[in-house]
Amino acid sequence: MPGIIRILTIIITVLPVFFSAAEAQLEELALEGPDAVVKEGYFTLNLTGIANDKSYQQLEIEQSTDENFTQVESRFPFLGNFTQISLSGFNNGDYWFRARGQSGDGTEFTTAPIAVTVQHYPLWQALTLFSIGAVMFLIVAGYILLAARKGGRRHG
Amino acid sequence: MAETLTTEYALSTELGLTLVVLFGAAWVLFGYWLGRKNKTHEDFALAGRNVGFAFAAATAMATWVTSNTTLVAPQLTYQFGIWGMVGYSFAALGLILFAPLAKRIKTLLPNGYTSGDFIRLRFGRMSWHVFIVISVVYAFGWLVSLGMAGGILLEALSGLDYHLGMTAILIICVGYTLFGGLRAVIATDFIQALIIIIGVSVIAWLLIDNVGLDTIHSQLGSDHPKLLDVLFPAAIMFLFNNIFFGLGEIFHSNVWWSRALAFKKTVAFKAFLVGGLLWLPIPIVTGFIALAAPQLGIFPPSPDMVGPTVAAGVLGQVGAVVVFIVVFSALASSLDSLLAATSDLVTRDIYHKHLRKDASDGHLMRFNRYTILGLGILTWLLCMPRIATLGALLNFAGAFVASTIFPILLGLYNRRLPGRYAAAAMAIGTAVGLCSYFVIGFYVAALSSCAVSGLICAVGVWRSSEQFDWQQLDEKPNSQPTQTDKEQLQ
Repeated sequence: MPGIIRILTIIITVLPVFFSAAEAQLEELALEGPDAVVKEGYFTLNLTGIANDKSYQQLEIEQSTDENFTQVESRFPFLGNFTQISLSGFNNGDYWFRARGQSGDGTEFTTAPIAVTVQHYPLWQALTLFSIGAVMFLIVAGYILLAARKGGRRHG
Repeated sequence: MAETLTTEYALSTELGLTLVVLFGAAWVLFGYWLGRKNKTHEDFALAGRNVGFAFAAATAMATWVTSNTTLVAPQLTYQFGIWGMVGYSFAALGLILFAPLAKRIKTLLPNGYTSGDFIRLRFGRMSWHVFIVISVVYAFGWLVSLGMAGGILLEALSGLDYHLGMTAILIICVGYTLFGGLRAVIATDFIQALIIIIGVSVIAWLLIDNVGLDTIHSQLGSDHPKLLDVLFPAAIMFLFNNIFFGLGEIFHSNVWWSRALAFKKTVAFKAFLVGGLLWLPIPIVTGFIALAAPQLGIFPPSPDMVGPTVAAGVLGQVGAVVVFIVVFSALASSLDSLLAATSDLVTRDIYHKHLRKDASDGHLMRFNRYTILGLGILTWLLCMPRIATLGALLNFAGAFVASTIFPILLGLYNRRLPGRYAAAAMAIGTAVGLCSYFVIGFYVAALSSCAVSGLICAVGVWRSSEQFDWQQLDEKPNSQPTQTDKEQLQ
């Protein structure tokens, strides 16, 4: 046991070294989204180009159905100190997103819009897998119940 | 994720750290106190094979309430809506269907130590090798997800650096498992189960009281309609995948086999059944929390952070402390179990059966402890780069574990399944599951893996004329504690 305690002590001592990685300094603010068509209705958007020495406020994502944002359909605020946001529950369709906010000196900014296309799996494909799963589950559960009953009788 | 905003966290970083230190110290001291009763390796690994009903049911339920339930159930609800929530609760079927298997295991292997013991004795070396690879991949997938969950929890609630939170929970769990073995794991699980049940009930009651079902429903219907859609294709595909993932996890993992072997023979069936029924409503409650996120204007950076973030957002600082205690307990109760079970597997199946057949009982107990420490360090290294979301990481392991369902099931009840077919079923099932994971998505990996494995097993049973002798599973122990061992331990 003393050996174990010694190893634990060494681990705790060297830990801080791993926590000091510096982040890259970037200048251009840009919004990044999924590269391909989204088939599950959920995706993540990432705001890049944030400089460490600048503070930003009221950062949010705006959603519209057209590239010019003639009408903003929804707004999604970023959480805490994060520049990434996860959105979910979208129907089939093309959606446009952009990030907006204020820098520390009060200057407002808006990123270039990006498009996200949501196209869910065909329902027949989902129901086929569902049916296969249901049949397999009935086989597994039925087998266990029958085998357990048979085994119980034998041991009884 | 760079720093930009001014929004405050539910807990200050100092309070988050204080809670970690207080809880950590309490669990480690408790583990140390319990560990003094361990006199043999069997005491350490299987708690003397004498665990009664209350502790047995509590440890079954608490171990299954894990990062899966407290962080991934909200994540999947946030992604898949009501199917994510309901589908996740069906993982209770794993515990419920394991109840008769536990009784069978206790009957067939009265001297068994691990699930690896069973595979080796029932199917031979080839199957054992495939099984060990699956077990190790799964164990590390789960260990890493639990370590990550600790970091994510503290980051979401207090803004504490992910690496620091993750490191803290690993040190605490390795600490008390190291001192107390399975006895400490089961005793802490009992307390943690009580905390989880009371805490989750309080959070659900406060959430419904503060937010209301009608407002949640109308917000989802307008801005996130797919979350309420019962014909959501990806969610429908996910449903049975999650069930088979849960079955595969429980049927193959030494976490559950070691419990089946540690429980008294008369309580094994009832303990898993009651544990499963107690577990069933918990993902519904934790998942429901995620549905309130859009109404509250909470959109997490990573979907696995949604549960604690929403709960803390609604309930304020006191609520955040409750959330912290519940999730911390859930993580600890699983992490310690997995550390103990995996180290048993390494000590018994690899070290004792293949490298040091003449090892004494005291030597095995020491090796077991060093293995726990080694697993903790390896998990910590794997957790450092945050490689995936918890849900995606866990479901990657689904491709592996679901391939073991039919080999385990038929291995326990059917004399005709030969070892070579069991090995092929696990290997080919895993390969197909992994292909599905990368080509289609994580939500079909377990289903396809189990289907292919089941087909191969069916062919094996149909073509075979083998009649396995169940007596071969009753392997007599070949290492008893020596007088020196006993003296050293005392």
